[in-house]
Amino acid sequence: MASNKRVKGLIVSRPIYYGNIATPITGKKPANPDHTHRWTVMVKGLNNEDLSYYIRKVVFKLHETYPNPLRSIEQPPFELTETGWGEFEIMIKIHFQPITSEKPVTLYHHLRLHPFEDDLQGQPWPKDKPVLSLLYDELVFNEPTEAFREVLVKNNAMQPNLPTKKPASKDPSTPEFSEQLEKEELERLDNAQKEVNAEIIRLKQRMAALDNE
Amino acid sequence: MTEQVASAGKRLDKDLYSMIGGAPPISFVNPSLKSTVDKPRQWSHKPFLHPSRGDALILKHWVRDDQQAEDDDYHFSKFNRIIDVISYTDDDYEKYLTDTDWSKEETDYLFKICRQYDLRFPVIFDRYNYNASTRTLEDMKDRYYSVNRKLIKVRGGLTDDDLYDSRLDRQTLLQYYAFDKNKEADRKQGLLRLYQRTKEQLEEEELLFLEARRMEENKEALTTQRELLYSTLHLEQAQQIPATPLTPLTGSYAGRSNSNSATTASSSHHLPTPTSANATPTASVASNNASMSSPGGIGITGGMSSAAEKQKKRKDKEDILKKARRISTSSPVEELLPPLPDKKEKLIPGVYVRSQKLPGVKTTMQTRVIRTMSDLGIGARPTMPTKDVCYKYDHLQNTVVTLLEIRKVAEKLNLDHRMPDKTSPGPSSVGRKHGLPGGNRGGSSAAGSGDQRRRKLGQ
Repeated sequence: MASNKRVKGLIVSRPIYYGNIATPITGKKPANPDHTHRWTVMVKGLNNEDLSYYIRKVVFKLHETYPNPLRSIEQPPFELTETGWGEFEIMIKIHFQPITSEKPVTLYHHLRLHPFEDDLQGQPWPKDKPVLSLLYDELVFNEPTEAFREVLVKNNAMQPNLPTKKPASKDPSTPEFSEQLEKEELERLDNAQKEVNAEIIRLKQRMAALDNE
Repeated sequence: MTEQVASAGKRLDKDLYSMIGGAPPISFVNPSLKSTVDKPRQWSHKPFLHPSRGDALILKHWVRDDQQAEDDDYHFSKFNRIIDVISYTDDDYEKYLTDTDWSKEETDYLFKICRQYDLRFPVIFDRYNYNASTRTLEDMKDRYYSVNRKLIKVRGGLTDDDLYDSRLDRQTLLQYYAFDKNKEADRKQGLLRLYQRTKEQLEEEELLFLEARRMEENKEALTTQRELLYSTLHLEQAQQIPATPLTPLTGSYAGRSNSNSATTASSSHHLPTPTSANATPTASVASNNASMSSPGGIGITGGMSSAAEKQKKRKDKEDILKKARRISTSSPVEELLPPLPDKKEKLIPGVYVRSQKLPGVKTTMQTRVIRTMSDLGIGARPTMPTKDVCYKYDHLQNTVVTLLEIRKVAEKLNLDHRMPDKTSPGPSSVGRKHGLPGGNRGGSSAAGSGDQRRRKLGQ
């Protein structure tokens, strides 16, 4: 029986992504101004991973104007579909399985219904295209318990296991998060860092020159 | 006819009064020359006794008959306040109050005068006339207060003619009568001097004060600039050897840093050491790269990118080294930033969301930092907050903060350079006065610039 002792010095991070997809409701019936969009808010793992081995439930707290704003999803897939007209902040509280002995974590997500940028071709967003707002994040477990560690090993979850390449299709069901995307971001950060360093050096040179006068 | 006019006048007044709320403004009221009293009143010339007088002198004054008869004391007697001056017996005097400087007679005389003039010491001092003794006001006060203190000590809080309030304890009473002759004399001297300052002295003081304040302000500006420079140089050094718990403690790294610490502060070592150190630990570098590279792609990305990255980053680091004053030649070899540690030293058990733990910027700088980052193509939040990305993102944020601070300082320098200060005699000295502390420059120029600066400030 694995104990609740913590494994010293071990850090395991699990990647997840969360956010929403929204589609405008178009129908033959007259449009209800209070329900112009159907949206789904979700917490998912990469590679369609089943998160239930460490997530017990996800509670989505919606705007007060929704009846029973606290929606608890206790089985995978941890997502919730609703209809509405307005964008608001959803509080997402992730509760972990008891075997992890971890306290719940809270995330906040701004529900996006309206397209906020043009389509990649520069044309206005087509009316039927769903609006996506998905954010990548990592749940970092510092010194997990031995019991939890065993669970992780069993589910091959000791390493983040990001997909290597970005998905080929622009299908909303598979987001872009991958090693490739990470590398691109690292490159961008490096470039920015170099620019800033160069600017700092330039400024210091100029100050040195001025001081010498 | 006149009666009608008079009565009409009275009625008009009444209407006016009601309009103005009853209280007539002075300008509207015509002074009436009529007297309010019609009948003559009776007065009588009455004798009275003044209780404050010691003798039984009877004086007379006029009293109106219909006013209240005065059974009480004479109205003005209440103004005769008597100050209680303590009294002592001869016995008391012999036991406690003898003094080398004051004879009993003189002390008695002093107290008599105190009683007579209600403890008004300026008056007492003026009227003092005892065998041509030259007592100053402070002397007399001193004697009076010391007698009181001694008597308090002896009698304690006991009421003696209700003189000492029995509610107060002895300590407080003693404090009431504390008197330091020398301090009093000095204080009065000081006041006198202050009062007698001439106009020129006042102006001089004003000027000195302004000068001192200006110097104070300059000092603060100088210290902030000095600190800024220290922080930027520290940051560069941090790029080379971070002193945080994130310091990687791989054996090779630690070994190199030890060997090179001895050769600090000599610029000739700049170029050779990076390249030489480069050659040696390629193996360890590769392994470091491998371990820190993106998880899940250990063999692939580590192997592919490490060579190219190392090359590019080594060149960058050499550029930076040329400018930086501090030398630490070990870590710049490997990366633009030192490799991430495999183990943290202090781990707090628990779970957290990685993007939430990104240390933020001070709120005052936040908007500017975000704007600068977006100019560089970086959003307010990293797209994929993995361990490496977060580390680099945080580092970039800090560097941007440094950059903004340096920019501010450079702007100010520029401005001062273009528009010399009115008080200082020329652009060169302005540069010196407001310039960055020369203390961090190479050893040779430090002494010269420091002296010059000190001379300017000392004006």
